[in-house]
Amino acid sequence: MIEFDKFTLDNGLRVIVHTDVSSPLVCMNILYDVGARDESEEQTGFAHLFEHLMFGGSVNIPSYDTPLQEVGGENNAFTNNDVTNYYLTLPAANIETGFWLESDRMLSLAFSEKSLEVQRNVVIEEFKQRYLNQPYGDEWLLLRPLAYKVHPYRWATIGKEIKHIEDAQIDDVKSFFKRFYHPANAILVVTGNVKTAAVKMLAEKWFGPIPSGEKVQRNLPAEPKQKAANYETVYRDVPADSINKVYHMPGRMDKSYHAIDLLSDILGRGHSARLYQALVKDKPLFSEISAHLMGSFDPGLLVINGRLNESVDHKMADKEIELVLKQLSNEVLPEQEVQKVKNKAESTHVFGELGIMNKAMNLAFAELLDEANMVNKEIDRIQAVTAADIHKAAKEILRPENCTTLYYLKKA
Amino acid sequence: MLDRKTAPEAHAIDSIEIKTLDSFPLKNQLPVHCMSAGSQELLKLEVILDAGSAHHTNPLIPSFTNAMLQEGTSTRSAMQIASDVDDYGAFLELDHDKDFASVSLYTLNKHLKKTLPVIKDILLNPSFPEKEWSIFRANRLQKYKVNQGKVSFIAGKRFQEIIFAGTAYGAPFEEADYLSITTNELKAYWEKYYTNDSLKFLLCGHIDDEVKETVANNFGDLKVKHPSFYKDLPAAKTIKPIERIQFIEKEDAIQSAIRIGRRLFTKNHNDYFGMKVLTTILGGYFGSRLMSNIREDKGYTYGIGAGIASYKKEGYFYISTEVGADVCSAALTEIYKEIELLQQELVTEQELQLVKNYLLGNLLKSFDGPFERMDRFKSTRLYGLDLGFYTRYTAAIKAITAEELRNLANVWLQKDDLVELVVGSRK
Repeated sequence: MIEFDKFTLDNGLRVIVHTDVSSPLVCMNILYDVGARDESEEQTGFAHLFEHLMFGGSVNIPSYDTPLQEVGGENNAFTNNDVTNYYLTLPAANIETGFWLESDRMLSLAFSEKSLEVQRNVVIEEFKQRYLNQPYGDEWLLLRPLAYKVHPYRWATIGKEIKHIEDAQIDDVKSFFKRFYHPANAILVVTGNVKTAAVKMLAEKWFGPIPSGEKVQRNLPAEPKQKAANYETVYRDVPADSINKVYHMPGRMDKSYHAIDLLSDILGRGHSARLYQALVKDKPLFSEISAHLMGSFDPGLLVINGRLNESVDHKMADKEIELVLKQLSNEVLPEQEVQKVKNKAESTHVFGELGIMNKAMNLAFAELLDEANMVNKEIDRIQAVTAADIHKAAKEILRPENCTTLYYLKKA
Repeated sequence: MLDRKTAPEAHAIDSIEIKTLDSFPLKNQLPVHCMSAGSQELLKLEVILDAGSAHHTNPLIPSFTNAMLQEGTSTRSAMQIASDVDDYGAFLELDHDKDFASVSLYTLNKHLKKTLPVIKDILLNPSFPEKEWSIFRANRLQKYKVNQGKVSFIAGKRFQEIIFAGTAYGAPFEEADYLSITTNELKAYWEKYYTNDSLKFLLCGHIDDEVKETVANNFGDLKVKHPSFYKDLPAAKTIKPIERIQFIEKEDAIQSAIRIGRRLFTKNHNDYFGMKVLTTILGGYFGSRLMSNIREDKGYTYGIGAGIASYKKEGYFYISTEVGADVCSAALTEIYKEIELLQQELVTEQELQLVKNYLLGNLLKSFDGPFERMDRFKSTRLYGLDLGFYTRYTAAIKAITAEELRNLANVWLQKDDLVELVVGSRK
């Protein structure tokens, strides 16, 4: 149970506070409701590039990092397809420095040409390091446009191609800021050794004067129902063949979400999971195989990924995966197996709430999705799932015509 | 009107509260260290042994022995072990580094009585079954081959082999070793290093009498002769000197991995704290000299870091990065330039103060939470130190001067003493 207070400033900024006096620190987490799904398809990778530019100086403060480090603080940020999230921790006595820094970059950036030029290069090196210069690095660059035809999940957060990053101009940066970086499009969560009254005072002082913006109404194209099984094969310089199978599923707030999450655990989480037992241990076709959900806000994917043992035929191995799925769709699930994945989900949730930073992030995401108190309802929602719910989810989702399969094979 | 140009008043970090642990012996004298905190009813029990990869001339043997513990015992199959843990929502984590091997259990308190016997079983009765071993070995070999496709992996492995050449910490391994190892070697290693004498227990989370009793019931009756008995590392061999500059070709790599560094010293050395500060200035935080120059000014890399690290008997200094293949030599020039600057010029008072505050803030954070405090305890106790190490560290950070730092740069960072390894394409 995470206790919290919540209030909204006149300009629309939502603020959530969780007090934990056992910590000597405070954490500030600012979630902006913008991700790679909000980019235009000619300019992919921009939300993430923009995140880098948020560290290039704001309108009144030339360096973001230096003053924070000077008071013993530390920060980072990440972007995904749905959101951009910034977080910092610092000694509780220096909390106001955090408010000063975060409010100034919400007010306006410095929009430095030099910063844009350097960060374009940094992001291009990131692109190479993560996606191009390692075995299997481009799997998701390939899978997204295969699985999604119209929804912007069809490109990765890093972008479709390096050229989009190279082409980014300072005017694009300015208009992106104006559209997405304002109080009504953000959620501030403060956790740690601080009281709500103090946060209220600081929030009014530093964020209160920032002009409100207009909340962007998202109008993304819905992905049409997939009607036929979809296959693609690529050859790369890798030591082992890999199979990815992705199945369309509803979004994060759908009432079937937890049932599908537990379904993916039954299939592919840990060494007692069905795919691992059947295809790594009983018939050693794969060296590893697992399943998980993408967890995206909009309709997402259930992912099965396996790496094949040497000289195993990938089509035969794929058939074996489908056999495991079919069996699961056709049987009544043993109660013990359902309880097992529920227990695992429960302890994951409890362990995931350790520390002021995790609590801050969990609260921010819950507030954006629905309401902050959702964090306190998760365990009940997990426990409420029945074997019948999982069975129904399996029938609906694990159908061959709902699946995109990527064979990622080693070059002969 | 709000003044947004001036920073709010800063408050210095005066002291860091270092909570000691509650330690007690079981009736057979095996030590249990407890860090009790937190309202959530969860626990981590870690069992640590002096059985890391440096304890064998083939470093894969200790690593595989540890990982194979969960592949079968005299009474449980691999599947049963996995189920007995998973059924209660618990997690098993097998880990090792060069000095230590560990088995950790993450569990909710309400399931401890069911889950604890599993880790007891895998520690005391592993059977290393052939069938599981052949699957395990093939999978590990495949992972190794995948890693051979990563310049950072090749560089990281080779760098350790070079700077610790001849010592137990630098023992190399290669693909052929995966195929030659037998389960008899794992069993022999287990018999020698996983003795009752060498078990150490670290307990962290929501600890009450029931928890202590459960641990005592499971492990208190084991026969123990010499608690915490330590077996020394294999002796060092004399080896031919190694060229300072090393290159490993990786065709078509679009980034090159760079590692620069040297063998240094352990946490007991007089210059340890000073070198922590110096290497933080050089490459230990986001605003460091190397990050500011090579990432934030030149855009050559996504990240670059420098630091010192230590094992039980050795330590080292490193600089580590991946850079675009086309800018590799430019990056090397800039790295050496930054080292020379530290040798020639004094760090300004402002930068020094920033780094001191940053390090103190970081230290504060590293004690925030029971798991974090347990990690700090481990990183002292297991190395023959006590938590007073952090009090001395705090004092040393506050006291160090720019002159001392320049002197350290001249003593420890001479270019001729630094190994330079690049893994990448020649083109």
